[in-house]
Amino acid sequence: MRKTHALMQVATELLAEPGGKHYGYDLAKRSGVRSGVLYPMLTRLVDAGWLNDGWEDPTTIEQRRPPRRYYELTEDGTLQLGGLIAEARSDARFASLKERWT
Amino acid sequence: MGEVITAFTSWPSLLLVIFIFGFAPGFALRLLLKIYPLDDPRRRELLSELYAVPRLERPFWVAEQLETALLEGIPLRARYVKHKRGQQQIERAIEILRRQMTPWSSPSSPFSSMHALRTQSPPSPGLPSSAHLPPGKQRWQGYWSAKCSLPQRGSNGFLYGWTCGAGIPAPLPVEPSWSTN
Repeated sequence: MRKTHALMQVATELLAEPGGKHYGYDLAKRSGVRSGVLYPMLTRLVDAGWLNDGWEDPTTIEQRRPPRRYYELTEDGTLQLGGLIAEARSDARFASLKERWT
Repeated sequence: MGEVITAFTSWPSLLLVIFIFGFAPGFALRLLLKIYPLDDPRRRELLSELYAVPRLERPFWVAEQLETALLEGIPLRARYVKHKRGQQQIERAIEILRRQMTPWSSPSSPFSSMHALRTQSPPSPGLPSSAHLPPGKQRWQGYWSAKCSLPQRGSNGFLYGWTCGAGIPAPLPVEPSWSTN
């Protein structure tokens, strides 16, 4: 997978809570990546097997709204994204992201 | 060019945009999601995400989804249409083949011997119901009938055998109705 700023930002947010369930809008908010970039990226990550996707259980929803699609990191995804971030830390191109990693 | 820009930035256009994205963001989003193929999970996903967006941000968020729908939805839709067209061509080809393979279509047809089998008398009592057929020919029973319906498509996308009218031998595994058992 090509290392981009957007991917690094999303990977940082995903790895901040590796066992958690992440939602598209929430992830976009936290990472600061536009949804036009984020959603196709999530599809690529799912296709690569780095993320699992699923649907919220409708019985657990308290408000009146449809169930949301969530994404979870797989073991492989945790390793791969962790590796990418480790590489990016020493890459000058991603110097602007260092604040997030501290 | 200037006139086009002026037309787009005119007050009525601006009001229309504000009305659509501001007062009916759900409607605008549903329209945008029409770009995606019917069974694409992104349709449901974006619609459910809308409820997570604060009301004031919704018009902007929906406008942002235009980019998502254009970047992601159009290629998906194009692939879907191409796939569907391919399937229709396969179905058409199967239907043409099926028509050509009816035994009475031509006396020189390789299936004319099957026609003879179809019209011969039932097997004698005591013999198995398939005794009148040469070995391995039972599988072709479905091709005998011109009254058979088109192949059916299952939920997994595969084509299944066709169903036949009353009194006509159906494809395997159904035995002829005049079985001696």
